[in-house]
Amino acid sequence: MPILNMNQVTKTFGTLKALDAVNLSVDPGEVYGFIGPNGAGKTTAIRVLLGILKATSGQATLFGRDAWQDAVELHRRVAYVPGEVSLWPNLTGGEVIDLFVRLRRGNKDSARRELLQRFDLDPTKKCRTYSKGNRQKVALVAAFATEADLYILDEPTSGLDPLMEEVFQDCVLEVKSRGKSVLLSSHILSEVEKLCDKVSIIRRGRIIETGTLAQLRHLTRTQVHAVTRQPLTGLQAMPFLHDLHQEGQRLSCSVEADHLGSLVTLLNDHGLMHLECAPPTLEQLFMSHYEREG
Amino acid sequence: MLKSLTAGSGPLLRLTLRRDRLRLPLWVLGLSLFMTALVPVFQHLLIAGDNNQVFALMMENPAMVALVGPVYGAAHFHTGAAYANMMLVFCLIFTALMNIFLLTRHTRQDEEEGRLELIRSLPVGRLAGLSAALLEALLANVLLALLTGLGLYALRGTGMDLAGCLLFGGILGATGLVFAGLTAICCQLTANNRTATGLALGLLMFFYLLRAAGDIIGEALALLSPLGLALRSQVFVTNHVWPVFVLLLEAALLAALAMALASRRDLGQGLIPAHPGRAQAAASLSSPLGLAFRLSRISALVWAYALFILAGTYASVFGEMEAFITGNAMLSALFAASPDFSVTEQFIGLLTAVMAMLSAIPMLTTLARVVSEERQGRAEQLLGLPVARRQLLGAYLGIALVMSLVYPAIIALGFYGVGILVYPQTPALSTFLIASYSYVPALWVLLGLMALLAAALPRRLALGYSYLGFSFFAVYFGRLMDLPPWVQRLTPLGHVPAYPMEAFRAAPLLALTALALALIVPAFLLYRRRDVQTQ
Repeated sequence: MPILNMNQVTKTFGTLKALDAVNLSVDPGEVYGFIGPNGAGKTTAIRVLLGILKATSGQATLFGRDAWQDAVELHRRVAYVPGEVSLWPNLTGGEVIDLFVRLRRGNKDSARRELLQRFDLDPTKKCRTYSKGNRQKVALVAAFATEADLYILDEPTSGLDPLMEEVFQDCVLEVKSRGKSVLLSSHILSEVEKLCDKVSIIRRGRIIETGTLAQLRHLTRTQVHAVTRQPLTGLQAMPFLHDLHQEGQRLSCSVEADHLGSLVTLLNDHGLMHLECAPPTLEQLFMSHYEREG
Repeated sequence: MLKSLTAGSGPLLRLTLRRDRLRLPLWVLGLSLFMTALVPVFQHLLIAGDNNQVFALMMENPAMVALVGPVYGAAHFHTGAAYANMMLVFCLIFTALMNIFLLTRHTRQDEEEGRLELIRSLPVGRLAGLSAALLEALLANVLLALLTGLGLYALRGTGMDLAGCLLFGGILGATGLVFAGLTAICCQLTANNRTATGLALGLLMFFYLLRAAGDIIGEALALLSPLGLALRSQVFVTNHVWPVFVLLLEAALLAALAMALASRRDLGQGLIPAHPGRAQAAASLSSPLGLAFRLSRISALVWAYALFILAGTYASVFGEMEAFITGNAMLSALFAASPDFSVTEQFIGLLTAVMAMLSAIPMLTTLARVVSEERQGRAEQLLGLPVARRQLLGAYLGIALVMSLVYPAIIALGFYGVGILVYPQTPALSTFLIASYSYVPALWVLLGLMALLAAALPRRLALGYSYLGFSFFAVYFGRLMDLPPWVQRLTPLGHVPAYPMEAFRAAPLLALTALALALIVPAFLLYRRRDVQTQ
């Protein structure tokens, strides 16, 4: 049974369709990447999952129970970090962390101390003096200081420096090693690539692609650079080759994933001397989807 | 040396003025309007009532002296003397506020938001930012002094000659500059805008209290406060000019000290390091109610204090009120309706209603916080935790309800405690308590309405405040302008028996309580059903 499930969820604000029949499903122990540009509907989907917004139609469940109806009960097992962390200006970071930890009835003092150290956060400062990154750290420490079964993280690293991003990624991997699930919304693709088992791409409120990274890559082209002994001919006639550049014995092109084998056979027949194959980065994957959909 | 430190002040001043091209004229024009527009009202009141002596007597009451300062020229208490006595200290406070906000905005706030860093990277002296801000303050205060002085002369009443009017303006401008200097120093001491503003406002309050104490127990103490010094000019009575010069000298010294401090500190730092806050939350901060209490406790206390002071101020004139009202045609028309009761007793009925409505303001703002927390994106984080919507609404409503039960006692104590000191015939404490607590169910109806708005029409929350405004109009002016009785019936406060003039009746109060419940219960049900307001 999936830990998190959205089934044909639609959410409209007036005439604006923020979510359009969204399906999403996260299994236990899975780190799930939720990617898309700003305004695509990531945050709205997460708010529906947390029972903060009510779905116009469709069903959102956490642990098999209705996300809207049973929100309070469900949130005992969920840790949430919003994309835009706003805190109470006259409370200190430490006070906010304690408040959040206590409200979830967790009380792991050692974890709190260790996380403060790892994220290099001064808990004695008033929240009004914190930068965006420091506010995010407050929310992250509060989230990881308690034991949850599902972590919902909405662009949690947009204000963090590379060093802190590393700490964050370690935290996610530790949670994963304990068999917990994570829904990670992001537009930092390298992060998703590093952490996530499965990915959904959302665009204008619709999920346009879902699968493991390998499956998604399969849908796109592989970049090939090769040098052969004999010059190649007749490549233009092959419909599965794109972006073709040929200069004597040197070839660079991109090839549709299903036809990689036939290209390699052909190269081999012409005395292959050098071959580089680069899988598409998530970046290219992402861009290709956006270009294709116009 | 100084020249290189302040290099670029000129262009910076032009930038500052351009940024404030709307704000500065609004402050200066608004203040000078406020400070002059009431002259005709005073003139009318004092001539029409023909009771200057009673008025002067009332103002000589120690509580009034503490509030506005000593009375000068009581023997011929003409419009000018009365106006300076009643208004000058408030005008001084507003001028000080203008200077405090102007200075912090152009020094500490620019520094905090990184604008100053950009400017300091240019060939600009270290003190250019501060000196541009001080120059702008100088300009603003000179303009304010001239506009107010000439405005007063244009609307002049009895006893207001040109010299006096200009002195009134000059005193304002000089005091304003003292507070500009003080604020400039505060901005060097603390490390952020909010603390600097808080410190400057704290100093203003301290000097106000010092003046109040000095005006009652000793002249020397009052002279230590710029506000007390300013009042010693005895505007429109003897027109002393020396306080203006002393204030200007003080302002110059303070500005110089601020410059000296500013040249000794690093960008972004304060001379007093920011003290660290609590690393861990107190045990009470572990529920939505605990959080709501923590967020509203300061304003709740400030309001309690303000309500007590205001009730005490009203009570301090109970004795003179009788004579004053019978001597004033307009006011005696207002209070002559029931010959069976003394003027004071009628006065208590109206004052209690006014105080009850004032006390509703903090209750409504506390409750409205449930929506503003949503808009600021903070409620979202709490609701992502195992926190129910009813806990959030319940927390703020709960605190507002506690206020509704505590404030009437504070108001009654303010009336009685000060009243009994100055007027032996003051009614018993129980009279004030009954009068005050009679309004509680009506306040609950206002709260119920606000809760329902927060739950069902969060974008129309202002309607709650408008309804309170209407209630004030209906109850207060309803009697004065002889409006038809149904106007008062449109507000819950109009249904409260005006004890002690009217007998206490439980029936309307029970009905109002039932109505409040009928608003609050659906509020909780509807709040559960709507989307949380997000950014």
